[in-house]
Amino acid sequence: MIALWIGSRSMGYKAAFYGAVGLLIVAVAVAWNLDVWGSKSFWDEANKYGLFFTIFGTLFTVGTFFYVGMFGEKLKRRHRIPETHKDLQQLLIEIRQCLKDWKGRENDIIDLLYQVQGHLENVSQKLDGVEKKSANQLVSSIAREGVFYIGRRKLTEEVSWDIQRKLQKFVTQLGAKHQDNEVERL
Amino acid sequence: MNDSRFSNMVARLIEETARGRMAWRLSEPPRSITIGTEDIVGLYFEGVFKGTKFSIYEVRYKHFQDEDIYYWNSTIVLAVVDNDDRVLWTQNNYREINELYDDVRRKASGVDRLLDYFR
Repeated sequence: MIALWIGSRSMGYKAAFYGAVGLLIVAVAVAWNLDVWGSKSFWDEANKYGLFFTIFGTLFTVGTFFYVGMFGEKLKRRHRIPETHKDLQQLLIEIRQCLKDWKGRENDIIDLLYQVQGHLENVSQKLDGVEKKSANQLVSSIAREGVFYIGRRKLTEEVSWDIQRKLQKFVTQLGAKHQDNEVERL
Repeated sequence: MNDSRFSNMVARLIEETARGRMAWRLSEPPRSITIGTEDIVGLYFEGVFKGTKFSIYEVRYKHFQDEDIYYWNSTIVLAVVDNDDRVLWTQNNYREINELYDDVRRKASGVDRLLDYFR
Protein backbone atom coordinates (compact mmCIF):
# COMPACT_ATOMS: atom_id res chain seq x y z
CA MET A 1 0.00 0.00 0.00
CA ILE A 2 2.86 2.33 0.91
CA ALA A 3 4.60 1.35 -2.32
CA LEU A 4 1.42 2.21 -4.26
CA TRP A 5 1.08 5.55 -2.49
CA ILE A 6 4.71 6.41 -3.12
CA GLY A 7 4.41 5.31 -6.73
CA SER A 8 1.61 7.79 -7.32
CA ARG A 9 3.59 10.74 -5.84
CA SER A 10 5.86 13.19 -7.64
CA MET A 11 9.67 12.94 -7.63
CA GLY A 12 9.94 15.47 -4.78
CA TYR A 13 7.74 13.33 -2.52
CA LYS A 14 9.68 10.21 -3.41
CA ALA A 15 13.03 11.87 -2.64
CA ALA A 16 11.75 13.18 0.70
CA PHE A 17 10.25 9.80 1.67
CA TYR A 18 13.35 7.76 0.81
CA GLY A 19 15.57 10.36 2.51
CA ALA A 20 13.52 10.15 5.73
CA VAL A 21 13.55 6.34 5.69
CA GLY A 22 17.33 6.33 5.17
CA LEU A 23 17.92 8.73 8.04
CA LEU A 24 15.74 6.62 10.32
CA ILE A 25 17.70 3.45 9.47
CA VAL A 26 21.02 5.20 10.13
CA ALA A 27 19.78 6.59 13.47
CA VAL A 28 18.50 3.17 14.62
CA ALA A 29 21.76 1.48 13.55
CA VAL A 30 23.89 4.02 15.44
CA ALA A 31 21.73 3.78 18.55
CA TRP A 32 21.76 -0.03 18.44
CA ASN A 33 25.51 -0.09 18.60
CA LEU A 34 25.74 2.40 21.40
CA ASP A 35 25.19 1.36 24.96
CA VAL A 36 22.58 4.01 25.57
CA TRP A 37 19.37 2.10 26.09
CA GLY A 38 19.93 1.46 29.76
CA SER A 39 21.39 4.91 30.43
CA LYS A 40 19.25 7.21 32.61
CA SER A 41 20.84 10.36 31.20
CA PHE A 42 19.87 9.31 27.67
CA TRP A 43 16.22 8.97 28.66
CA ASP A 44 16.31 12.30 30.53
CA GLU A 45 17.63 13.99 27.37
CA ALA A 46 15.10 12.16 25.21
CA ASN A 47 12.30 13.31 27.55
CA LYS A 48 13.39 16.94 27.19
CA TYR A 49 13.34 16.70 23.40
CA GLY A 50 10.08 14.80 23.53
CA LEU A 51 8.46 17.50 25.63
CA PHE A 52 9.75 20.22 23.32
CA PHE A 53 8.43 18.51 20.20
CA THR A 54 5.08 17.76 21.86
CA ILE A 55 4.54 21.46 22.69
CA PHE A 56 5.77 22.53 19.26
CA GLY A 57 3.55 19.95 17.55
CA THR A 58 0.49 21.01 19.51
CA LEU A 59 1.02 24.69 18.67
CA PHE A 60 1.62 23.80 15.03
CA THR A 61 -1.59 21.75 14.93
CA VAL A 62 -3.65 24.55 16.48
CA GLY A 63 -2.12 27.06 14.03
CA THR A 64 -2.85 24.80 11.08
CA PHE A 65 -6.41 24.25 12.28
CA PHE A 66 -7.10 28.01 12.37
CA TYR A 67 -5.32 28.61 9.08
CA VAL A 68 -7.39 25.94 7.32
CA GLY A 69 -10.57 27.42 8.83
CA MET A 70 -9.65 30.90 7.59
CA PHE A 71 -8.71 29.61 4.19
CA GLY A 72 -11.99 27.70 3.91
CA GLU A 73 -13.93 30.84 4.80
CA LYS A 74 -12.03 32.80 2.15
CA LEU A 75 -12.79 30.14 -0.44
CA LYS A 76 -16.47 30.20 0.46
CA ARG A 77 -16.54 34.00 0.06
CA ARG A 78 -14.81 33.85 -3.29
CA HIS A 79 -17.26 31.34 -4.66
CA ARG A 80 -20.47 32.45 -2.99
CA ILE A 81 -20.24 36.19 -3.78
CA PRO A 82 -20.05 35.88 -7.60
CA GLU A 83 -22.77 33.21 -7.58
CA THR A 84 -25.09 35.32 -5.46
CA HIS A 85 -24.26 38.41 -7.52
CA LYS A 86 -25.35 36.60 -10.67
CA ASP A 87 -28.56 35.31 -9.06
CA LEU A 88 -29.47 38.73 -7.67
CA GLN A 89 -28.81 40.41 -11.02
CA GLN A 90 -31.26 38.00 -12.62
CA LEU A 91 -33.83 38.53 -9.88
CA LEU A 92 -33.45 42.29 -10.23
CA ILE A 93 -34.32 42.07 -13.93
CA GLU A 94 -37.35 39.90 -13.14
CA ILE A 95 -38.52 42.29 -10.41
CA ARG A 96 -38.25 45.24 -12.80
CA GLN A 97 -40.19 43.36 -15.46
CA CYS A 98 -42.96 42.71 -12.95
CA LEU A 99 -42.92 46.31 -11.77
CA LYS A 100 -43.36 47.57 -15.31
CA ASP A 101 -46.61 45.59 -15.49
CA TRP A 102 -47.55 46.37 -11.93
CA LYS A 103 -51.29 45.68 -12.20
CA GLY A 104 -52.02 42.14 -11.10
CA ARG A 105 -48.41 41.13 -10.55
CA GLU A 106 -48.06 42.04 -6.88
CA ASN A 107 -47.90 38.37 -5.85
CA ASP A 108 -45.14 37.67 -8.37
CA ILE A 109 -43.16 40.55 -6.90
CA ILE A 110 -43.64 39.26 -3.37
CA ASP A 111 -42.40 35.81 -4.43
CA LEU A 112 -39.35 37.35 -6.04
CA LEU A 113 -38.67 39.55 -3.01
CA TYR A 114 -38.69 36.50 -0.74
CA GLN A 115 -36.15 34.85 -3.03
CA VAL A 116 -34.03 37.98 -2.80
CA GLN A 117 -34.36 37.93 0.98
CA GLY A 118 -33.10 34.34 1.10
CA HIS A 119 -30.05 35.18 -0.98
CA LEU A 120 -29.34 38.26 1.11
CA GLU A 121 -29.56 36.43 4.44
CA ASN A 122 -27.18 33.81 3.11
CA VAL A 123 -24.61 36.14 1.59
CA SER A 124 -24.64 38.70 4.43
CA GLN A 125 -22.77 36.18 6.63
CA LYS A 126 -19.91 36.27 4.17
CA LEU A 127 -19.76 40.06 3.93
CA ASP A 128 -18.48 42.82 6.14
CA GLY A 129 -18.48 46.62 6.22
CA VAL A 130 -20.72 48.61 3.89
CA GLU A 131 -21.98 45.59 1.95
CA LYS A 132 -23.11 43.76 5.09
CA LYS A 133 -24.91 46.87 6.32
CA SER A 134 -26.68 47.32 2.97
CA ALA A 135 -27.67 43.64 2.89
CA ASN A 136 -29.13 43.83 6.39
CA GLN A 137 -31.01 47.06 5.60
CA LEU A 138 -32.46 45.50 2.48
CA VAL A 139 -33.46 42.34 4.35
CA SER A 140 -35.22 44.37 7.02
CA SER A 141 -37.03 46.50 4.47
CA ILE A 142 -38.23 43.40 2.57
CA ALA A 143 -39.21 41.68 5.81
CA ARG A 144 -41.17 44.74 6.87
CA GLU A 145 -43.08 44.62 3.61
CA GLY A 146 -43.72 40.95 4.27
CA VAL A 147 -45.24 41.74 7.64
CA PHE A 148 -47.32 44.50 6.05
CA TYR A 149 -48.55 42.05 3.48
CA ILE A 150 -49.47 39.41 6.04
CA GLY A 151 -51.27 42.15 7.96
CA ARG A 152 -53.29 42.73 4.75
CA ARG A 153 -51.52 45.99 4.02
CA LYS A 154 -50.77 45.71 0.35
CA LEU A 155 -47.31 46.17 -1.03
CA THR A 156 -47.53 49.42 -2.95
CA GLU A 157 -45.92 50.25 -6.28
CA GLU A 158 -43.97 53.07 -4.64
CA VAL A 159 -42.48 50.78 -1.97
CA SER A 160 -41.64 48.10 -4.54
CA TRP A 161 -39.76 50.56 -6.72
CA ASP A 162 -37.93 51.80 -3.62
CA ILE A 163 -36.84 48.23 -2.78
CA GLN A 164 -35.80 47.73 -6.41
CA ARG A 165 -33.61 50.84 -6.18
CA LYS A 166 -31.97 49.57 -2.97
CA LEU A 167 -31.45 46.17 -4.56
CA GLN A 168 -29.85 47.78 -7.61
CA LYS A 169 -27.45 49.61 -5.28
CA PHE A 170 -26.64 46.41 -3.39
CA VAL A 171 -26.03 44.42 -6.58
CA THR A 172 -23.62 47.14 -7.67
CA GLN A 173 -21.81 46.96 -4.33
CA LEU A 174 -21.62 43.18 -4.52
CA GLY A 175 -20.17 43.38 -8.03
CA ALA A 176 -17.51 45.81 -6.81
CA LYS A 177 -16.73 43.51 -3.88
CA HIS A 178 -16.29 40.60 -6.26
CA GLN A 179 -13.92 42.65 -8.41
CA ASP A 180 -11.92 43.64 -5.30
CA ASN A 181 -11.62 39.96 -4.35
CA GLU A 182 -10.39 39.11 -7.83
CA VAL A 183 -7.74 41.85 -7.67
CA GLU A 184 -6.67 40.63 -4.21
CA ARG A 185 -6.35 37.10 -5.56
CA LEU A 186 -4.10 38.24 -8.41
CA MET B 1 -14.70 48.34 -16.89
CA ASN B 2 -18.34 49.07 -16.05
CA ASP B 3 -19.03 52.15 -13.98
CA SER B 4 -21.42 51.19 -11.20
CA ARG B 5 -22.81 54.73 -10.91
CA PHE B 6 -23.77 54.56 -14.56
CA SER B 7 -25.73 51.32 -14.03
CA ASN B 8 -27.56 52.97 -11.14
CA MET B 9 -28.37 56.01 -13.27
CA VAL B 10 -29.76 53.93 -16.14
CA ALA B 11 -31.77 51.85 -13.67
CA ARG B 12 -33.29 55.11 -12.46
CA LEU B 13 -34.10 56.15 -16.03
CA ILE B 14 -35.79 52.76 -16.49
CA GLU B 15 -37.90 53.41 -13.38
CA GLU B 16 -38.84 56.94 -14.40
CA THR B 17 -39.78 55.72 -17.88
CA ALA B 18 -41.83 52.79 -16.56
CA ARG B 19 -43.71 55.04 -14.15
CA GLY B 20 -44.44 57.56 -16.89
CA ARG B 21 -42.52 60.34 -15.20
CA MET B 22 -40.04 60.61 -18.04
CA ALA B 23 -41.38 60.99 -21.57
CA TRP B 24 -39.38 60.01 -24.64
CA ARG B 25 -40.00 61.54 -28.04
CA LEU B 26 -39.17 59.90 -31.34
CA SER B 27 -37.11 62.32 -33.44
CA GLU B 28 -34.59 62.58 -36.22
CA PRO B 29 -30.99 61.84 -35.28
CA PRO B 30 -28.75 64.92 -35.37
CA ARG B 31 -26.37 65.23 -38.31
CA SER B 32 -23.37 65.06 -36.01
CA ILE B 33 -24.11 61.35 -35.46
CA THR B 34 -24.76 60.36 -39.06
CA ILE B 35 -22.32 62.51 -41.01
CA GLY B 36 -18.97 61.10 -42.12
CA THR B 37 -19.74 57.51 -41.18
CA GLU B 38 -21.22 54.40 -42.75
CA ASP B 39 -23.05 53.59 -39.53
CA ILE B 40 -26.82 53.46 -39.72
CA VAL B 41 -28.82 55.02 -36.92
CA GLY B 42 -32.13 53.28 -36.21
CA LEU B 43 -34.87 54.70 -34.01
CA TYR B 44 -33.72 57.80 -32.15
CA PHE B 45 -35.50 58.93 -28.98
CA GLU B 46 -35.00 61.99 -26.78
CA GLY B 47 -36.09 62.60 -23.20
CA VAL B 48 -35.30 64.96 -20.33
CA PHE B 49 -34.44 63.94 -16.77
CA LYS B 50 -33.44 66.43 -14.07
CA GLY B 51 -32.73 69.12 -16.68
CA THR B 52 -30.43 66.88 -18.74
CA LYS B 53 -31.41 65.94 -22.25
CA PHE B 54 -30.79 62.27 -23.00
CA SER B 55 -31.07 60.42 -26.24
CA ILE B 56 -31.13 56.71 -26.87
CA TYR B 57 -30.69 55.09 -30.26
CA GLU B 58 -29.58 52.00 -32.08
CA VAL B 59 -26.46 52.12 -34.23
CA ARG B 60 -25.83 49.45 -36.83
CA TYR B 61 -22.22 49.28 -37.88
CA LYS B 62 -19.89 47.16 -39.99
CA HIS B 63 -17.73 44.87 -37.92
CA PHE B 64 -14.68 44.06 -39.98
CA GLN B 65 -13.08 40.64 -39.59
CA ASP B 66 -10.62 41.28 -42.39
CA GLU B 67 -10.00 44.07 -44.88
CA ASP B 68 -12.94 43.04 -47.07
CA ILE B 69 -14.87 40.72 -44.79
CA TYR B 70 -17.39 42.24 -42.43
CA TYR B 71 -20.74 41.59 -40.89
CA TRP B 72 -23.34 43.99 -39.59
CA ASN B 73 -23.58 44.40 -35.87
CA SER B 74 -25.60 46.73 -33.70
CA THR B 75 -25.39 48.43 -30.36
CA ILE B 76 -27.66 50.64 -28.30
CA VAL B 77 -26.22 54.00 -27.33
CA LEU B 78 -27.29 56.31 -24.53
CA ALA B 79 -26.13 59.88 -25.04
CA VAL B 80 -26.33 63.27 -23.39
CA VAL B 81 -27.11 66.01 -25.88
CA ASP B 82 -27.26 69.78 -25.53
CA ASN B 83 -30.07 72.07 -26.67
CA ASP B 84 -28.53 72.38 -30.13
CA ASP B 85 -28.61 68.57 -30.45
CA ARG B 86 -24.87 68.20 -30.23
CA VAL B 87 -23.87 64.88 -28.72
CA LEU B 88 -21.77 65.64 -25.66
CA TRP B 89 -21.29 62.16 -24.23
CA THR B 90 -22.17 58.62 -25.19
CA GLN B 91 -22.16 55.23 -23.53
CA ASN B 92 -23.00 51.76 -24.79
CA ASN B 93 -22.48 48.08 -24.02
CA TYR B 94 -24.52 48.08 -20.84
CA ARG B 95 -27.28 45.57 -20.22
CA GLU B 96 -29.40 48.28 -18.63
CA ILE B 97 -29.20 50.46 -21.77
CA ASN B 98 -30.68 47.66 -23.86
CA GLU B 99 -33.45 47.25 -21.29
CA LEU B 100 -34.15 51.00 -21.35
CA TYR B 101 -34.25 51.03 -25.15
CA ASP B 102 -36.81 48.21 -25.20
CA ASP B 103 -38.93 50.07 -22.63
CA VAL B 104 -38.73 53.35 -24.55
CA ARG B 105 -39.79 51.66 -27.79
CA ARG B 106 -42.62 49.91 -26.00
CA LYS B 107 -43.85 53.21 -24.50
CA ALA B 108 -43.49 55.04 -27.81
CA SER B 109 -45.39 52.37 -29.70
CA GLY B 110 -48.37 52.63 -27.35
CA VAL B 111 -48.59 48.84 -27.31
CA ASP B 112 -49.47 48.90 -23.59
CA ARG B 113 -52.74 50.72 -24.31
CA LEU B 114 -53.53 48.15 -26.94
CA LEU B 115 -52.72 45.27 -24.58
CA ASP B 116 -54.84 46.85 -21.85
CA TYR B 117 -57.76 46.72 -24.28
CA PHE B 118 -57.42 42.91 -24.31
CA ARG B 119 -56.97 42.56 -20.55
